[in-house]
Amino acid sequence: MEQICLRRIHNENSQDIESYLAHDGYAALRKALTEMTPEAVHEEVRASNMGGRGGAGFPTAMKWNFLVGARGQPKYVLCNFDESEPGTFSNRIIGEEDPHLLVEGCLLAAYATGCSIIFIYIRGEYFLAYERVKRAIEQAYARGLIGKNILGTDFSVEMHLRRGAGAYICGEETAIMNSLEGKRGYPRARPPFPANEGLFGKPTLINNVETLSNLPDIVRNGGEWWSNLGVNEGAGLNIYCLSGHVERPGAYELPMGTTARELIYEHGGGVWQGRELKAWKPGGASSAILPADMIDLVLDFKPVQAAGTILGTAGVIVMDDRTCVVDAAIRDATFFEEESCGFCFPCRDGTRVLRMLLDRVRHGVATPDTMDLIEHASSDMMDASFCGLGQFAPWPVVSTVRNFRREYESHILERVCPAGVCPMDGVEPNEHVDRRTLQEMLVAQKGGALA
Amino acid sequence: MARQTSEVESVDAPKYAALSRDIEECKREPGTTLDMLHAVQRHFGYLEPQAVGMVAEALGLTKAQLYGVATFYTMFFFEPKPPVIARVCVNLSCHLRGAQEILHTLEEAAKEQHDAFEVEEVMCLGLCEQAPALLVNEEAVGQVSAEEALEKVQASVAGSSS
Repeated sequence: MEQICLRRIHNENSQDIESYLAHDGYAALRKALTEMTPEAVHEEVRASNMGGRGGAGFPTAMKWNFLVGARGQPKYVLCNFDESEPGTFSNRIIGEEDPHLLVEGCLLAAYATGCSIIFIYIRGEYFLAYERVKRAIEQAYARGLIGKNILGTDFSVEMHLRRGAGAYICGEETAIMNSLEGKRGYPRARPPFPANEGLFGKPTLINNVETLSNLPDIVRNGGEWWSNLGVNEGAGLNIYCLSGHVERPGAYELPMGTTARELIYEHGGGVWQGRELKAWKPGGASSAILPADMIDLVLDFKPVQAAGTILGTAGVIVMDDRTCVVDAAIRDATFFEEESCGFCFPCRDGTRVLRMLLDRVRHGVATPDTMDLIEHASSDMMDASFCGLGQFAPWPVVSTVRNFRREYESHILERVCPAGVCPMDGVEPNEHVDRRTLQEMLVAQKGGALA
Repeated sequence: MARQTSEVESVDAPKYAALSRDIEECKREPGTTLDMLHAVQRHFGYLEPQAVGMVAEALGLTKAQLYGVATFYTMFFFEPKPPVIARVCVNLSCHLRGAQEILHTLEEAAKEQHDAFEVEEVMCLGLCEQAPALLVNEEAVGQVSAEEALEKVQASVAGSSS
């Protein structure tokens, strides 16, 4: 089966420039710089129909258009390597095992969009990937593949690697710029958009590691070739990260448009220990928790959106029949409560309220209106949160209320956890939450903020 | 008291000198604030106040401004830490594969050994295919039982004290 981003990762010393050069490494850069105009590279990306792999699936070529039209110098490429979405690890594998692929991808993006400075922002916890990307950049500089007059052409570019320090929000495209500028990683208002006024106030192209790592093959083989690798109307290949209760967890680079059933059963070897599938998630913590009967869903941006959730980073998490969905939902709720940056109150307070409500369900002290309260708080967060973190944070919780209603009723009305996972001990884990507390917390503050 | 302070300073003098060199290096490029703070932590094990002051001065910030930035990020420490830190992921993929057991086992052991190492409950480390996973200092450890995780941590503690 065709492989792009993961093609070289099992080669000996795959992270070394010699190994990379021996396997078509930097051939696309040479081709682009010596045979193609920046517009021609852009055209191939347009033909590829690629949607950005960072989670939103925004057409890559269109994002590049904004850069080409933007005024101001210098222009920056900012590679978003702040991979922190629970269930997602494809960027880490590329950085650890094939860092030169990423370096080459960054160079091609800079060439096509007229950028002269490249930053790679990698999350602080990726120690090994940091070391390997750092070495790759040094090696590429030493070979004249980064720097002045690359390959004897008049294309010059510098490349810098920067480390984050533990903050999920810095994967958001405006927060990452604040962080790189040495500030707290709060998101910025848009407009101005990064393409016009981004890093240090200059035009900035922000692309994900996997998006950039596909560019060398698109340039070498053509955008149409790449596009045709997809199935079920999908474009190209996509790395699906598979984890949880599955026999063979791992990163699978498959045609975009592969169904969840194929991914989990054919590639992942099925639910572990031969158990039954109970629930699954298509795209990391920010996506819904779906029931087993949605397993034939096509894993591409549009079909998953049509099903009411997001493909996001394609971090697919599998849950077997021993899992309690309340217990699963509270893991995601806790994640978002921890990672909310606190900048806007619907997210800051909403993530806390959702976790508190779920905690009350787990302990068997939830009131009968709990599911309504979850719907209510979720809807406020989706409408009023400042950035994507708070807008998507309620999905794992509210989706379990909708898709597994019977299980909630059992916890709330009968005080029984059907899976036998929750404590159900009658202990009060936190203060009582009702309609009034919600209003005080959300509506009253909304009024206060507007006043 | 005064003598003690100067002894501490002389012990730490090479660290401040090394940090000073790192700061100079960082200053040549834009966007290196976090790198400077990482350098402080690399040399001192935490954000030692006087060293933070050096970074603030290099950046033209007050210490309060710089602490305002540093406190946003979970990887920075504001007090000295044991030489070994185990960061245990507790998010969904790892939770489904037994993260709570690892967390519990390590926390009990840390208590018994009077905090010879520190256990942190952390959010997703991007090691989900190796769940349950943790970082022992900078080393990724995955697909382990609670006992194996503890052995890894103990080996690291033994290595750091020898």
